[in-house]
Amino acid sequence: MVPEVLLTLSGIKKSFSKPVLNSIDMQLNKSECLGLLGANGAGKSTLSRILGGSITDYEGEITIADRSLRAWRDDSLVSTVHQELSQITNLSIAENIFFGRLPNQYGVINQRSLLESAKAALELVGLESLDALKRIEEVDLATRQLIEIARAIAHRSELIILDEPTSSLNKAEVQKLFKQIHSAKKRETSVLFISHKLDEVFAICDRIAVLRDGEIVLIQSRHEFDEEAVLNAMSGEKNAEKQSKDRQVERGTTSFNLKNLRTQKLKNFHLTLQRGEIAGLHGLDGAGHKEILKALFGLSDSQGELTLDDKNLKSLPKTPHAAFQQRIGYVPEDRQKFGLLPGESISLNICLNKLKNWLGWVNKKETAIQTMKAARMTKLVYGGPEQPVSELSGGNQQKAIFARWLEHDLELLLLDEPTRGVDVRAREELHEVIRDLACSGTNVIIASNDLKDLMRSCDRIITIVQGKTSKEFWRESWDEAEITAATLSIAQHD
Amino acid sequence: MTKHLSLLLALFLLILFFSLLNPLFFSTPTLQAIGNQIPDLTFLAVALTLVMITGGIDLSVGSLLALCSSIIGVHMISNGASLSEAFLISLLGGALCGLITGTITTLGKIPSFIVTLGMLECARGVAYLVTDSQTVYIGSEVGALAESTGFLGVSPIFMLAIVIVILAQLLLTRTVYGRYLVAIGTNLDAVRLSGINPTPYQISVFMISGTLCAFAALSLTARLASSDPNAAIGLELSAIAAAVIGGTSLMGGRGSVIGSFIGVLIIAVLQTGLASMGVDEPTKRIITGAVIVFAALMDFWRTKQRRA
Repeated sequence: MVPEVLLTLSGIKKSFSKPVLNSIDMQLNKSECLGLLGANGAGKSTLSRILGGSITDYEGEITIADRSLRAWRDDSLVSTVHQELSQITNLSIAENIFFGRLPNQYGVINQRSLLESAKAALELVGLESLDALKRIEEVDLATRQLIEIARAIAHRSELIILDEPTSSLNKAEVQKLFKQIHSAKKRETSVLFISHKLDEVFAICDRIAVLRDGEIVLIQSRHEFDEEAVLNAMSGEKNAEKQSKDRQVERGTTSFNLKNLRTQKLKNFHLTLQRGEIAGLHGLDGAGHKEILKALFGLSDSQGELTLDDKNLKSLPKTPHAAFQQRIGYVPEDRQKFGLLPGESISLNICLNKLKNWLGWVNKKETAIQTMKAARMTKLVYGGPEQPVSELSGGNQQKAIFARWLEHDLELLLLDEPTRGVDVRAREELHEVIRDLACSGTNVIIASNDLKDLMRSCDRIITIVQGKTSKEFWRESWDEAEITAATLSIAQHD
Repeated sequence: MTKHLSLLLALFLLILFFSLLNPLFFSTPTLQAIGNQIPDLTFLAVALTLVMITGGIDLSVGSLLALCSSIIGVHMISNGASLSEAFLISLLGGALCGLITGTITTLGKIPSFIVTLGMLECARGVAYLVTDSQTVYIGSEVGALAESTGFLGVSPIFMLAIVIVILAQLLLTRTVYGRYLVAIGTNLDAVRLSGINPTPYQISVFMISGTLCAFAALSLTARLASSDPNAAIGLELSAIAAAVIGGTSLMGGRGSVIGSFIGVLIIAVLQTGLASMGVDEPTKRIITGAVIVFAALMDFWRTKQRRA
């Protein structure tokens, strides 16, 4: 049986200041899940924005169900679940799901119908226990992502575009998402799955397309999937197996000692680090591993005792400013909301906390040099120190935030999901920055739901369950399945 | 810079328009009238620009102007102080009021709109108390500041306004302090999480605003040669309008002092020009209001284009 074609792209071109998409020809069948792979800046986001209708001035022709995309006025045709969530934080979950088509009579919202349809939609993504009247900002990122998917399903779109959908999800949630993709396919909906994570793309997609420098360089069907070929196609070079740098933790030189950390979620948490150790905190959502970072950076009400490099601080820092004075740094999970100054220059973004003398002039030459230096250390690709940071790709933005914490001779760097939404190559480069920092004697604590990522850079992984350490794994003797099991251990006994 | 150019172009077209309609418009008396009018508003517009860039607003500037002016008048006439001494006290008074609003809004985490609205009432009340609700006539000691001098025929107070505009623009674009104000207005959370304590910056910007109100008070007092506790009612709205015309965003993070100054000039030219055409007061207000909204729309389109 010849599959029915849903979407045809022919000769799609788009340039901003330079060409981003260079003549894309591609087809997507009904009920097909196509994986779109590519490094940051390859043009994936631009393509998804064209399909989603937010960019309309492109060259070439797109037809969906035999009609030109330009002719469609119905916005439910294509639903996009964006990498950086674009929800209306002050509205309820239900209102967000049906925003733009709220059930109403003469402009008065029918609350009951809204609530019922919202519940039905949430049930489809396994969120039946969620209160649909909650404001969306009270919900964590992973759930918000699932809500976006519920929205796409509720709108009965022909095509759902998932832009990095799993970047904030844990394993169980990813499985839930995959189940949703399967059921969407059964309803004859097509899915465009944009991701950096090869194993996920291989697991769910029927076909994959690799985008590099605005061109499709490789298309493979399920039976031809080949990781090596895909990686090479993405980077455009032979991807030699990168050896992780040899780095020895000085055992027995304790330089970080946290005792009796107590917050709302955490009960007497202890952690000791050797000088230059990279520790990973891993757990299910809400297990408390993220709270540990927040407590250490003075972002939450907490009690506990902290000793840094023989200095007994007695108590934890009360504000981020106090933490910074103890030479503690923090890279937040949501870089758009808590990290970047979007309209500002790369140089101000990187040098934000390096401008020492507040009464003084900004020395443009000095900040340009610091920017260049930090960019070299993080392999940041940028146009110049005065370029707005918002023009950078996701991976390079994250590098800019990393760069902010370099050259401070930090005692401790806290990283919350440091490689979320970052492509394979940039991810490798960020790992290198983390290792370099550890080599120079900075302790690093990474909290992440992405176990593979933690296993790449950490010396030790600590699993957290309900605010307590459940188990510790050292690099020499760890096992992925055991670590995953440990994140569930106490929860199962309860 | 291109943004300033388009503002200057708008100003130029406005002058051209009025000159063509009324040949007497582009003449020394008219220009002097405009030059005389603008210093008070300039100081306030600079104050608003700095506060608005951090994402706040200061509605109390008009009342603070009246309070500072009252301090100058009462201190000189009742206490026999010299002008410089009286001005110094009013500077301290303005800064103190700014410190109070800044502290309450920043530490109390209350929107500056509300806190400065309260200060607007309080400061006006204190101004009435200080002066016993009477206008205090001072005379030429202060009036001389508003008279034209040999240098290009401009008044000392006008030159002071220009100096303040330049200093504030340098503060905003070249100093660490200024960059922090912009950063705070752009993304307060990001600033805090980068280990910077934003509180001193947020408070001090209101102190700067209060201090600039004292400068505006000096200017107005000089022009009237007296202190009037009823002065500058509603002037805060003109200052906000000037800043918005000049491209300062009410959402924070974006704006320039030079732009706001051009905004002041546009308002002044518009009002003087309309008056010279014999347009009555109600029509003048309608036109001015329309221009403000139009300027905000233009600015919105321009930034949208740049982003796309």
